[in-house]
Amino acid sequence: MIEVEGLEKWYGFAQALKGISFSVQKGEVVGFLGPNGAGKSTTMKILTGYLLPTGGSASVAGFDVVADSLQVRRRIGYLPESTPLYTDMRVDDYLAFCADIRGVPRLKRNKAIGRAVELCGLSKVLGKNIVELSKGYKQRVGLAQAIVHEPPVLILDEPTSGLDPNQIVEVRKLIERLGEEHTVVLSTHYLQEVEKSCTRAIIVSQGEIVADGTQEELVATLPRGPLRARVRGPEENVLRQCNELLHGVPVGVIERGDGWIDYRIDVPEGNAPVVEAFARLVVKNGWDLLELVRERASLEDVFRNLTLDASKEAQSA
Amino acid sequence: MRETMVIFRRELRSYFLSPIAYVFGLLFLAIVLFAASSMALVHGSQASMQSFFGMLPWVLLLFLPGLTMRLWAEERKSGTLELLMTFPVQISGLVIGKFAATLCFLAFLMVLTLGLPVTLDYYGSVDWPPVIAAYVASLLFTGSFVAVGMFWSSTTRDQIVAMLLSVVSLLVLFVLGYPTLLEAMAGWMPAVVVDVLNGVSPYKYFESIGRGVLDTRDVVYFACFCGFFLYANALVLQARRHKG
Amino acid sequence: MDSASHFTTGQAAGARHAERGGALGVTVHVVLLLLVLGQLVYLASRYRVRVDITSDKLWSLTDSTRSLLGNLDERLLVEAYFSEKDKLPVNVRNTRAVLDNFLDEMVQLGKGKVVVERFDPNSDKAVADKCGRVGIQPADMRSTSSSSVSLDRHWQGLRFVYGGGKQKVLGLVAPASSYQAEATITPAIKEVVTTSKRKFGYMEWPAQQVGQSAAGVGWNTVRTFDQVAKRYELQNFKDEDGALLPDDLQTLFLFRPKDLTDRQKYVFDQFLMRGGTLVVFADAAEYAIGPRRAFTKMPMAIDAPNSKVRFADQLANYGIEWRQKVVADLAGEADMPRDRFNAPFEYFAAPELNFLGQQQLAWKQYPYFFHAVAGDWSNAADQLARDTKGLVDAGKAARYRELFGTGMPSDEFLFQSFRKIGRGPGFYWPTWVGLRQKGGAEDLPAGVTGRVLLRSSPLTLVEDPPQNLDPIGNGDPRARQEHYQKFLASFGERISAQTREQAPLMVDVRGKLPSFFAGVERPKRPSEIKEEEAKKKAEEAKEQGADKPGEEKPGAETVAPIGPEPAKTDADAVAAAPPEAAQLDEPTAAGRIVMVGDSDFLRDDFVKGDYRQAGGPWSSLGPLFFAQMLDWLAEDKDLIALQSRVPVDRTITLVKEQQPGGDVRVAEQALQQKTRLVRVINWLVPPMLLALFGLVVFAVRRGHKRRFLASVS
Repeated sequence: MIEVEGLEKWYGFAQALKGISFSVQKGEVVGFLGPNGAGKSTTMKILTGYLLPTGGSASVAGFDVVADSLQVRRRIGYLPESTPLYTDMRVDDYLAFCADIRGVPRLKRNKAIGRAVELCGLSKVLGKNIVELSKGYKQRVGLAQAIVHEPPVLILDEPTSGLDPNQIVEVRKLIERLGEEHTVVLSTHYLQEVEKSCTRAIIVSQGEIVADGTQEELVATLPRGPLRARVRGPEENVLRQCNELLHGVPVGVIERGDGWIDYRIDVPEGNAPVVEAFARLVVKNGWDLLELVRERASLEDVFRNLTLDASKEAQSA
Repeated sequence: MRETMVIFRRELRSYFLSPIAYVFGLLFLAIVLFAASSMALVHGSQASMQSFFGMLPWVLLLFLPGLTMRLWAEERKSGTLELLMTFPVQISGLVIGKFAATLCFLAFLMVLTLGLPVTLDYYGSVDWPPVIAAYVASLLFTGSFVAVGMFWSSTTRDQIVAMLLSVVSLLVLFVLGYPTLLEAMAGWMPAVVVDVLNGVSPYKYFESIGRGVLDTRDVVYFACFCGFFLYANALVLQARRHKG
Repeated sequence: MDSASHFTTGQAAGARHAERGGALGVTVHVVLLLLVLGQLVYLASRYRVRVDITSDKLWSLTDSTRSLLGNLDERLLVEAYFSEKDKLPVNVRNTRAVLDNFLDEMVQLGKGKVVVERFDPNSDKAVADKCGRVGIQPADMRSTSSSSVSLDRHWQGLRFVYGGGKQKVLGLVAPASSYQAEATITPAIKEVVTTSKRKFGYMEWPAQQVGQSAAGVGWNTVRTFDQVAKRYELQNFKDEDGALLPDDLQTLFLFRPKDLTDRQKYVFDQFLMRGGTLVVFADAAEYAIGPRRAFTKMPMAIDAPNSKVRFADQLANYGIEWRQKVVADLAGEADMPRDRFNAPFEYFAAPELNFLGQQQLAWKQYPYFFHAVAGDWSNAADQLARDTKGLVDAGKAARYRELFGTGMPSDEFLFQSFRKIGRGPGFYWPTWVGLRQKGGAEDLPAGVTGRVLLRSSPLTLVEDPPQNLDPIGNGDPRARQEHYQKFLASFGERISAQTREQAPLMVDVRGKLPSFFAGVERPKRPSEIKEEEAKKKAEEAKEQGADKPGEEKPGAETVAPIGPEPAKTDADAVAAAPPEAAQLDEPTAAGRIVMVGDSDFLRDDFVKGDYRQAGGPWSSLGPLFFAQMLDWLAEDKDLIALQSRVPVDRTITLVKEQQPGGDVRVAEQALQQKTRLVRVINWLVPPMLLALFGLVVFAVRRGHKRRFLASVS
């Protein structure tokens, strides 16, 4: 559905996009991850035809965003960052306007609005002025606006920013439902959002794509996670014995509880039998092993890992 | 075209639902009608709308920017411009839709001033063809002013700045054609420059309209004036797609 | 963002690219567009089409100009001596544009018969010399050259040559509008195209003047009045010897005829028999006016002492009744101008002390100075039929309604430009000039039609000219006040003693006028009488011998001198004079007499406003009336149209016209109230409508919303 090839964008002297390339297949829900100013919004604005790229090319549903901008715009639904709305309009008027301007035929218009209203749960506020709505409802109106014409591609720029946790949950559910019918590209800096609702994540930093793949693929690129062991036993003893037994493996205390202590054991690369060795050690010393978990690497780790590196690089350069 | 109509309808609707537009309308009507009725409705004088049409450009010059300032600046500030520009509408469609809606609203206000010629006709006798033509023609120069106001509104996100820029630019254009000033300038400027200034300023093009003479020169001038600023407006919006 | 610096530094290729599409692209576009549109506007102002949509065609060339240029027999060469346009001062440059425009239009209308040739006298010495010869004058004006201010010669003159023969020069023309251009150029073209200036004859008897030179005041100003002198030639035909008027003379003006001899009356009669038009500005009495405001009747006789027939009888013979009485009108007040001292007024003002003790002019009603007004006096019938108790006499009112009419018929072409003012020219101590009547009905000679063109109001006093008509005297302010009160009281008594009627002030009689001298031997010319006497004397001398050659007979004084100076006739010249045309007892063509009951309003001192400062009369409308009259008599309606293109009357009438004699203050108050009401309605109703509209819109929306919410929950 979306093909991006070597996309560049300069704002005056500043290069916002340094030639990014990616493609999104039909039915995918792609999360655009990245710190503020990484180029997420710029990419989206180019995809929606609002901005013109300085170099490279991008196409949506087979139409070039520059040459066939209007065709592209007909096929996308767009929720810009911070959800701009005509606050002086009523919700129904506003949705009707958006449907009209996007060329929904008159006869099908009410049906289309009805569908969007139902999907976004707007029926209670349909007759209200937008200015009177809560932030969450506004966000839903923005989403309804984007889907009213049933576009094949949905582009949502930070759909959950500024919402309270409950609202975030609601909007996420909504996006999940939308993902069933539409190809969705959404940008966010909430990692959970991508973890929860996206089939794929693209991590952008400093105008470049630093990672692109499903969650599992991304996590797999990271080393295996550390061990967390909850042990009831004398702390000094445990630490000393561990250091003796697992030479060179860093062990530290994470938390001290009521009679127990959580230890973190960073398992090194390779196939060293650290878990077995540790288990034996506990048994041998007669301590109580309350819990032994291998912590999984999260997307957050991936993200931090990648973006911190990049910013360090940028700083040193 | 269809999309332009949608934009037009939305804008027009927003005028008729916006308290600010009503305040503008009330002020405009009150001022114009107060001045015009005290000038025109005089026992024993000839029934003529010349005072009304003579005053109209000046009142509009001061008032219209207050109405047009929000056209783009507000959209820019609230971010809806981004939304608007990602709708499948050509920029020209956006510009024309907004322009036509504003003009329509002003035409509505103009219709409300028709009471004056009707009163004049009741107590005296009004020469209707030139009055009607003058109404049409004043719509033409009103359009020019709207175009200027819209243009400045598109260049900034601050409405007040847009208004000031429109008032000042219109005023300067007006004054450039002022005969006394031209004369003064003629002393040290090349004649060509003075001629060009004289030709560019809308000042002299109002004259015939108020008198009841339809002059193709005036019509072409205002059409060009209007077209130029609308085009520049579209260019500014287009340029935003480069700059972000 | 500073785009210029970007571009010059040109750091990154991408940045450049963005700029090219952005600011630079916009700039290039805008400049190109400006050029194209500028060109378009320029072309549009060159090849403009103007449609005049006013129903009066106020801004279009008249048919007069169109037909004039469309029907040329020969080539009309228009030489335009124009200096370079770019160097003209700005204000003049506009007039050049108007002229160029007009010349272009002329060429178009002329269908090839009009040729315009342009010369620049500044670039060619020979041309400049020629200009000096033909009478085209340069104007020295400040130049508009860019660097320095210098005095330049500017030329903007036109020379019209028709068929290689007749020519006319307009030395310096600077019309501000095409309408003005037409008003100057069309008469000039008419002049060269038509064979000659229309000729009018006149005879004048200057008014006497007290306190100044004995020469008297004439009517020179109106004759040399710009509009008149350009198109008409006025020739004095006052012949001491009473010669008959030439056959080609169509119209003869008589300015205040007096001391008319029988011979002169015969000359008029024969002129009328031949089909001439006699225009008489007559007065019954002559009142002296001077710096001291004498206002006393001066001795004046219409007929010369030895005259056997009366001029009044002669006029009656043609169907005109001239009562040698003074007419005064109380209703002049009805049309008092708003600004009495700056607007054209024919009123009388007297110096008075104001509350600060300063002397200033105060307007006084003086019924002997008044206008014929356009209003219909039958509307005032009820008012006039009121008796002293204020009761309306119904019978009287009905009679009045039938009897009274307008003071100035609006359909008459002559008054075209007076319609707008609503009144005719101001008259001063005018006299009664009406149609001959018998038993209350018009009694005109067979084959003669007549019409009264101007009438006073019904509040008119007609009486023999009083000896003194000074309303205030020359005493101290109080004495003046008393004098004025007395004057008004006396006037009021006299006017209430008279029956109400509108005095006619101007008549137009035309047709086959019967000869006044039919069957009577023609009066002899002074020279003939002298000749006869000389003959007689010679015979007597022969009889008596040559003893007393120088002795004069007492009978010689019967020879009436004509005019101010006694005739000096050369016997040889008389002998050489050709025999006079045979006496016409019957009219050979339809003649015409136009008689106006006042001549003062054309007097130089009145027209020029010599007495304005002292609060005396100022006949500002007199010259206009005279000029219009010439066009009217020449039946050149086109030119009247050109001179006074008066639009359709669109006067706003907020309250009905005030009844004459009604309370001015009440009427004023009513007008003020009505004006305020109409203005306030016009001011407030449309905004209220708008507000109402807004409220309705909001209410409808509110209702809509409530219904919707109800349906949802």
